[in-house]
Amino acid sequence: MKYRGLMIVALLALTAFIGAAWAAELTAYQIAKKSLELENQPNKTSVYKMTVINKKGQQRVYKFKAWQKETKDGSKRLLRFFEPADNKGIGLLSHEKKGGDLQWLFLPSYKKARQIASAEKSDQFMGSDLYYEDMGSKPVDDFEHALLQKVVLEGKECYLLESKPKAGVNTSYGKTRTWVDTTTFVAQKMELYDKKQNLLKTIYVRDAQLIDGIWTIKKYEAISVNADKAKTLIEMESVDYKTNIPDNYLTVNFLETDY
Amino acid sequence: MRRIGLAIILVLATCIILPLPSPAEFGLSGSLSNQLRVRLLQSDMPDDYDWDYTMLMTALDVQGRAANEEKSARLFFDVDLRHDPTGVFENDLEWRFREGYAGYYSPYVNFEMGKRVFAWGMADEYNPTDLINPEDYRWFMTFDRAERKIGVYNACLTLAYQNFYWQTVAVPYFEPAILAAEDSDWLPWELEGFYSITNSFPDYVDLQVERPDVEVQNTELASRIHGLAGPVEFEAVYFNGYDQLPTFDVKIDPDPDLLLSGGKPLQIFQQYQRYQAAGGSVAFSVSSFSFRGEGAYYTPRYWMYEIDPALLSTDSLLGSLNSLLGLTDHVWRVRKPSWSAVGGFDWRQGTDLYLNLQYVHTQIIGREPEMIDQANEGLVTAKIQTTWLDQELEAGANGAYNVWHHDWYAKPYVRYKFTPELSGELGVQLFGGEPKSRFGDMDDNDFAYTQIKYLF
Repeated sequence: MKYRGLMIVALLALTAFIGAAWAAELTAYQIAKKSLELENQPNKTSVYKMTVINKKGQQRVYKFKAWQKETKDGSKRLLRFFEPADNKGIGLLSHEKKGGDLQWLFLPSYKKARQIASAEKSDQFMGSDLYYEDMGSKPVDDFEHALLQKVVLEGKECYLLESKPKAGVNTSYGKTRTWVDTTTFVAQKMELYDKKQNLLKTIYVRDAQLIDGIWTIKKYEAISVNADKAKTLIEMESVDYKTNIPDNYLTVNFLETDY
Repeated sequence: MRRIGLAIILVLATCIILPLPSPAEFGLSGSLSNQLRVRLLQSDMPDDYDWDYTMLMTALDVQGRAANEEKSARLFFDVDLRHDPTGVFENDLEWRFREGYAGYYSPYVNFEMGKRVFAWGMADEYNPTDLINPEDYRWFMTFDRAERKIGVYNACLTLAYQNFYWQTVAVPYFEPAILAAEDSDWLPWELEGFYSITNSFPDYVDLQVERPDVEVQNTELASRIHGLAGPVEFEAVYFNGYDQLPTFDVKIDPDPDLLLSGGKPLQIFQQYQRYQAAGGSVAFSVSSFSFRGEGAYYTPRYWMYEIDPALLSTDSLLGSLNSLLGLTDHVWRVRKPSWSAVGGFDWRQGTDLYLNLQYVHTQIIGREPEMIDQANEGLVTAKIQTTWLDQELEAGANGAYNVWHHDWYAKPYVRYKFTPELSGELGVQLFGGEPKSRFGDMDDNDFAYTQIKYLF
């Protein structure tokens, strides 16, 4: 009886040790995948408020709704602006997949969508500190991931990942460093570098909440290098993971007819 | 017909929107603007010419949208009210019901009905396959094409699957283009030549306007297939409908007794001719460039011949009779097919610099030198835009140059956004070239303008 009890305790201890050891051996790829999966949900309908602050401290506020859906070969996303008045009705449709991404911009005054050149993805999104590329999802397989170390950031233990694009991937970034919370796998901070390894901007996650069982970034800030007072603040005002987004929402036809 | 159309729209909207239990989305937006245009003085103006403003237009444009939560039922309307004391509008006021349509939308099928402005084709500003809507030419092309378009009553069915859709539009009620008035500064020289006949013989002319009746066989049809093949977007279009610009048929009865008895020996029929068009467009991007091409072939339509002014003489009744006899054998028009194609690209550097360049070629097949129409043969168009001050200040220019006839226009402007809702614009529109050319004809109409606009 005595030995039996000791056996059970030893077995439990061994299981815990193996479990802990296994968890500590998550690869960089697995960490990146778990983190990106929080963003790349099968269906996600959200409303955002984006505040762009220029170097003089002047603010410009945008509000837009985003529909995002994962497909078998990538993802599709539609953004529709409803504030301010000069941007009302503007739509941006993105089809992201291996072999090349496609984007369309819809302007209500012209009543038709036009394809945007792929290089324009490195343009600033609505004059903010974010690029068009930042508004799309990043397939985990497009990058080589390396786990640098574990660090503590603002009281949270984080994995520090470094991700570099694979050859042939169309991106304006040469390297990204991401601080990923070891418990929630929510990215807490990102540093984005250009192809010459110069720091371009830093993204700070200010608020993340558990919504419908999914850790969701509710607020983040993007600050470009040498920004002075300039920065971009993105706040998610609402999110819906449960409603299935019809496939026809993420087509050029819908982009042109629903505004 | 307009009242019937409105009634249909309201009934359809009521049937679609109201019974549905889901909460609906409603939204109103629009703009309030004021534009002042002043003609620019030129060196060859007469000495007694006094400056005048050619436009002082205040416009209120309101757009409304409604949809149920599933977006399976939607309603859209666009109305505007314009005031201009320069005499363009009757009583200085004009109300336009530009669009008003309701629709049912499902993943694979959309059905819409009402009054609507379509925008087909992937080129910019010049679209050979965008044939459904007529345009308002009262101010020539000084307004952008999107603003010139006139809505048409239609029923539209769209079948969609993934990145492809097939759209068919039926237009039962024909709307012609609106042309400049006879006394307008914007009247093109071709129509001036025509009006010279009617004005030369005002007592002897019987002008009859023949407009397609609202009958099933007169319904216009347009259809397009839009899709994606890899990175290339394409569209194929077919159109069977009416030319919104009129053609004129002339019949002369040279019987002197008819003339002497006060009859009208000169009959002029203003007609709208039916034709077909087939074409398509394509667009794709490479690096920072976006390429677009569009083209269409048009079945034979009438093109007018020019009239020798020497044939027109009204010194006396006898002179008039001689003139009419001289016109008896005149060939007024001939049917010819034609084609039009546009090719170009746009390039962007960051968000602050944008350049668009296109070549537009329109060709009447078997064109004869005596024909009036010049069309757009060999037109190079360009557009450049740049922004400063965090996109608050925008400067740009649009322009075109005809490499065959050497006429041109240019529209440089500066726009400043005081707030996201309020902007001010300053610009000029300049025209140049030979008198009997598209833009040279408007040489005396160069103007400067200022506009203030509030969006809501």
